Amino acid sequence: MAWHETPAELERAWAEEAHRVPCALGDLVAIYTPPAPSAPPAERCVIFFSRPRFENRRTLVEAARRLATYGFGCIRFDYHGWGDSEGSSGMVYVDEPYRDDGLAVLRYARERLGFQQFIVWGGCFDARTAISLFTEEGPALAALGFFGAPVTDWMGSEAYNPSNLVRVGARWKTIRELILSQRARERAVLALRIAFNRIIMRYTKTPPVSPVFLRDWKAVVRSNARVLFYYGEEDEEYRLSFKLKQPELLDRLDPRTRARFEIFVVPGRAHTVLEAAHRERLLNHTVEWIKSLHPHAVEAPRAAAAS
Amino acid sequence: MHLEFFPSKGRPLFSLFWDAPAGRSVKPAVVMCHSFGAEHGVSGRILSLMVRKAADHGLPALLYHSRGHGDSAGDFCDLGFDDLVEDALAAGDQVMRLSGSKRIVWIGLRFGAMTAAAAAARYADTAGIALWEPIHNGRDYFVELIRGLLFSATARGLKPPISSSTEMLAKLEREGTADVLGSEIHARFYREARDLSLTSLLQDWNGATFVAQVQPRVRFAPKTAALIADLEKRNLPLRTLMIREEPGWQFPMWRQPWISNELLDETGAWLDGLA
Repeated sequence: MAWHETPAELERAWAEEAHRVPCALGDLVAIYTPPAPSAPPAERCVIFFSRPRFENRRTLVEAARRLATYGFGCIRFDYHGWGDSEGSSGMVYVDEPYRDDGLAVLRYARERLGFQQFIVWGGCFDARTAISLFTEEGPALAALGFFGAPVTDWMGSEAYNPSNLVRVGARWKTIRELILSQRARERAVLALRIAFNRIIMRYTKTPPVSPVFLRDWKAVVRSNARVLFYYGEEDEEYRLSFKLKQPELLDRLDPRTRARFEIFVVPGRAHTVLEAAHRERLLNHTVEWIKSLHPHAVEAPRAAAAS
Repeated sequence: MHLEFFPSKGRPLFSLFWDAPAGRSVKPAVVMCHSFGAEHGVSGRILSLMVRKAADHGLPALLYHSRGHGDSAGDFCDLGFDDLVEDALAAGDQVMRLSGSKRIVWIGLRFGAMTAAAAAARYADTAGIALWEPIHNGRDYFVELIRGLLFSATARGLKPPISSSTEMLAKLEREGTADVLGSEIHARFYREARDLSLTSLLQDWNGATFVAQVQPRVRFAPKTAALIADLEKRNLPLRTLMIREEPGWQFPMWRQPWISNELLDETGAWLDGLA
């Protein structure tokens, strides 16, 4: 369903502030949505990790403004080299999270906006960046929303299968692009690399947990944060990665620690931006889950505003 | 860099402004007009870099997010083409307020070229128009979006939700909305934009113009070539450029944002001529 701003959300939009966050790799542009003064303060700041900061379908803008009406402060920002931030753009890989950027934003929010507790949320590469903050800031992190990210090495989309590569590669348009476009050649190399990884995966019993993820995972386990894993049962990141490693990661935890972790798997695909219904389902689940982390019972200002 | 929300029709719009190094300037100021819907996010990086580049060349510059886009307020589902133009003109007022400039250069990317052309037509002191990979008419744009949907579904081994662009456009007319690659197209925008023609929007234009094609082609595409021929007939100062790339405008760029230094440098050189 299309987003119709409520008066309360429009009020939060008017309250938003654009900030320039100093960071080693260039100043980052961040948008801070202050909590509604009329809502019971959650005393927690939600940091959304995304590229670009507003997410292509603006789901994070809606999430931030909705959560702010319930008393949460929210920040969305561009990584260095992305969106409006400074710094140069490079390829991103899930095992090379932009931790310094995330830490810079968190510490800025602590020093300049006065928050002491944070909730971090991201999908795929952004989830892996969000979780990477735990090694340094675990005590300050109240919760992690981890959506659709692989936890193993050798992860790749099934769209890059040999028959697709042959079919696409045989088109005149593709050949023309490969001749003329450096970017097309880079994409082709990446596609071949992913296809190669899939072949390796087929002949490997279980791919190993990524060492980078394992480092961050241990920090999450040591913390007191609540964690939500959100996947679609048809996502490759779930079927070929998280689901295989779930026993290794979660079943060995003591019951008290295990109780902090919630796994939510929806039918079909969740890790896709190509279908609006999936994005809406994810948005609503994210907002409801974060609302459940509010230390005080909250009324529903959205419904109240609508009435 | 100056970040600010400014009002347009009672709603806050996000803006990023870079002043020219010398401070308040009598040179023209640049306004960047973004593309429509999800394409805004995909192509936002190069617009941001162009703002910096323009300032390096001595021209104050501003990018903004239209209502229903990016960090601005407003309902995307209620958006019409006139709203985009109104926001562009409000951005023009904003850049004049911040820079002290009196004339504006409009740079539009993809659908933003339509917005830029329409804003220029309503704004008396336009110093130039740059059209980056412009959309030539509204209907072609919607068909292109839908073909992207069909291609994407096929690549993932899925049955496409519709069999043709005609079917999807009929559904849009019938139901008032259509999900195209995760970004909904709504009936009001479709009805207002489908019959737009860039040539018509530029019919009274006679100033400095820059046209850049971003496609993996060795020649200008027929519609771009026709536009260039039409502009050449008017004897206006015209500069053209071909960037042989296929950024994939409708598909989120997860690994690296698309940029083209050649496009930035050539546009910067064109701006030098205007200054």
